[in-house]
Amino acid sequence: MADVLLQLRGISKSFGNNQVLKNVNFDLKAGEVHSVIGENGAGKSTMMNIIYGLLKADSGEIYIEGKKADIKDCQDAQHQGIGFVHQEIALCPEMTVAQNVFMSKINGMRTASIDYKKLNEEAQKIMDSIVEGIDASRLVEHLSISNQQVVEIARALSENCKILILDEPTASLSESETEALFAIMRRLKERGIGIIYISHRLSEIFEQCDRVTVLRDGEMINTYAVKEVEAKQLVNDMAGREISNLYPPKLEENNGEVLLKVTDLADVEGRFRDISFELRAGEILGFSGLVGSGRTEIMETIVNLHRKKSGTVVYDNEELGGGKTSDIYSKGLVYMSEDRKNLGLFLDMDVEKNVASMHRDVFRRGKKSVLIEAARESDAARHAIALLNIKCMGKTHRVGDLSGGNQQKVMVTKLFTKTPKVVIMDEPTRGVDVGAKSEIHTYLRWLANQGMGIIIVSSELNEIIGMCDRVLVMREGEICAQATGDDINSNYIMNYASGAYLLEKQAEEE
Amino acid sequence: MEKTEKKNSLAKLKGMHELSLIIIILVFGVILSIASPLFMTWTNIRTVLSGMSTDGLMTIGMAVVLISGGLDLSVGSVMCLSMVLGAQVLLAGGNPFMACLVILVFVAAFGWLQGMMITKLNLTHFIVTLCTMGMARGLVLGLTGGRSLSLLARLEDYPWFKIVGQGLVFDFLPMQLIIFLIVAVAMDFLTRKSSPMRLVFYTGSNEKAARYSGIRVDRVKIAACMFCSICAGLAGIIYMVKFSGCPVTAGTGAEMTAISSCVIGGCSMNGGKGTIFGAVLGLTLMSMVTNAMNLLSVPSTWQQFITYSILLVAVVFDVISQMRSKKKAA
Repeated sequence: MADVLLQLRGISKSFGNNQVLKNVNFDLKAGEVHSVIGENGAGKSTMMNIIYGLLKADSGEIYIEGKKADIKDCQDAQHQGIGFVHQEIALCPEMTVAQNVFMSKINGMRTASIDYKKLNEEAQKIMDSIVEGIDASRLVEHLSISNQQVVEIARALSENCKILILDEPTASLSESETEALFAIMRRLKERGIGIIYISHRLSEIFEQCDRVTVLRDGEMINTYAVKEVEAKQLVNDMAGREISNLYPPKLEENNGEVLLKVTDLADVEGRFRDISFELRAGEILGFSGLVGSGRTEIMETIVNLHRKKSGTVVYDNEELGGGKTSDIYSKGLVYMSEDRKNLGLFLDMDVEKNVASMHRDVFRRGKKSVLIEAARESDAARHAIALLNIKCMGKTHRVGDLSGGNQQKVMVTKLFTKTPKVVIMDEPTRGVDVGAKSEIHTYLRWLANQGMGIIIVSSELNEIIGMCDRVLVMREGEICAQATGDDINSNYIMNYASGAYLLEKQAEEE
Repeated sequence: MEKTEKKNSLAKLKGMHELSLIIIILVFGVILSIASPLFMTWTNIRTVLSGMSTDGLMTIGMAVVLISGGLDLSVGSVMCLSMVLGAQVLLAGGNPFMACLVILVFVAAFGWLQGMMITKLNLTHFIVTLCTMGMARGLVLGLTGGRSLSLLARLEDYPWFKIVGQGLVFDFLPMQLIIFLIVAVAMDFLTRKSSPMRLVFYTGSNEKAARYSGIRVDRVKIAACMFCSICAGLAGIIYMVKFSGCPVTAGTGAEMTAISSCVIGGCSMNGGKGTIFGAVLGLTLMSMVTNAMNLLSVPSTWQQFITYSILLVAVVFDVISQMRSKKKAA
């Protein structure tokens, strides 16, 4: 049996009356990837924060390599060999890779001058041990998101790390970047590092992890060897109920009228060109492709958040020229951004004001009145909370204090305070647990069946495959393929999204 | 059902920043009236209240700019400059209508220009209004040669106009206070209930998200700047009549009084938060402190130190109470 690096015994934690962890046991062996899964609010983050010394457990013990450990704070945790890569990247963008990697070390130094040359060399060594080709003297802001994540990992490793916690590391990565991360994880495993891996994507767990522990409502439900468990079992454990179908049934055939017709759209910055497609009533159309392939930019241009260079957008038999975004929204063509924290929500405001933020004209007392009808707002908020089962303390709960999944639900509901005809959703279920995901998916399909046209932009292939009636694959700013029916599968889509089809074509020609 | 609703509104009142301010003001008032018999006289209170009205108008404007996520350092100087322009019109033989029109058009244009620089050139409020503050004050000095203008003779011709700054309604309520209260009550109502003011909150809370929700944030920010300058102009009209002229130092430091009042009153320097009622209460507290120091004959050389110490204590107290309520919620 491999060495046990980390053991948690009977860990409990409460915030006020709310017990978030109940008597949790967990262990991590050297050289294994152990996944911790559960719905939003199941207690994963709390558990990781306790391991990393950010929170103190009310009771229970932690052992590191068999010895009882007392982790005072996160610096102490780093000294004891624990590294934590958070879901959101927390680097100083204006500083170099090396300065970021050794941030905590520089913090501990009590010398007046720092030998940056030596620092760069050491950082380069660590970077190279993870992945080749990132210059340690470059500024972090010039790196891609996935390379920034490598810097985060390097930072965690800089302190002789044995236990590495990765919190949803793939949430903002494209498929190919995800593959690169997995390669790094395999290399770290070989070095005997134990990895705790948190993710909502079951497919990743089956590909990459050795064991998986399910948490639900703060309780440890079970630990399985990944080889011996089926996805359905995990889903049911997480939800505490049977989720029979992960995705709602698709449409048989579609003869709906064309709601949205885009012809030869191109933008000023040249991030996409020659975009033409149609969307019919009752249809769910998917946009797949790698991150940066121009999907988001197309959608933002359709609702006039960016200026277009050429092309036409015809919605509901009417051309949308340079109209205002608010007019386009109130005509019933709505867009939800992928970036809920920066572009989607008002985190300081309550649920009610967030729900009312999009279709503001609905809440006025009259067409010409400047006053807001408060009752209508609270009705809309209450309705939204009930509709998607948003877990909050009522409509005046501050949105920033909700969990990620519930924030996402608030953002979804704000589109529907006025019935739209075409809904464009960019990453509709980012950072959302399995239960909430299926609630959102079911709702979207129900909307489509009511005659709306829905566009889903998603980096998650399973979501595209499970939800969409038709899929357009983007590559480098152009639509390179359309998939319908049985063609909607990961091989077909990835073949085009990654550009592999071009290689095949070349081979044929030769 | 009804019971829970009632409970909610009570909890809401308890959580309100304004309530704690009202309590502080009342307690402070009781202590003051014991410490100095002069405090509770109508003459004293009337002096404090009428002193508040020009600062109060600027505080209202400042609150709106702060809510929109901005800041306006130029209010005091703009007030003074608008007074100079108005006085020049009067001295050149114009009537009060023309003077007021010139003042209001000028401040609106001034605010618009500030807003345009902030939004279209992407400059910060701090930089733009810091420059315009200095420029406006500089223009005052340049145009007047540093000499205060007197309107004593001119205002004698328009006794009805003198009421604006010097008159008493029913022989005891200062007209300027009534003007200020009307603006304050109207703006407080609109801040809570109106759709355009809601846009200001959205913009201040998260400008990008506001843009993605279809709000034209540039227009909102420009409008907020314009509103603030117009408030300064209104204050200028009252000030000009009140003193029958315009001292070149008028409005010096007014921006700090306005910002302090707003912050004490619960406006966030990060935008998206605040009420007019709270800001007015904040100003009331500030004015009471100044008044107390005068009544208790604190040397004027020490007054500034004490005023700003109290500001710091108020802000720290507020932050601590916010942290506590957050902990409770978690």
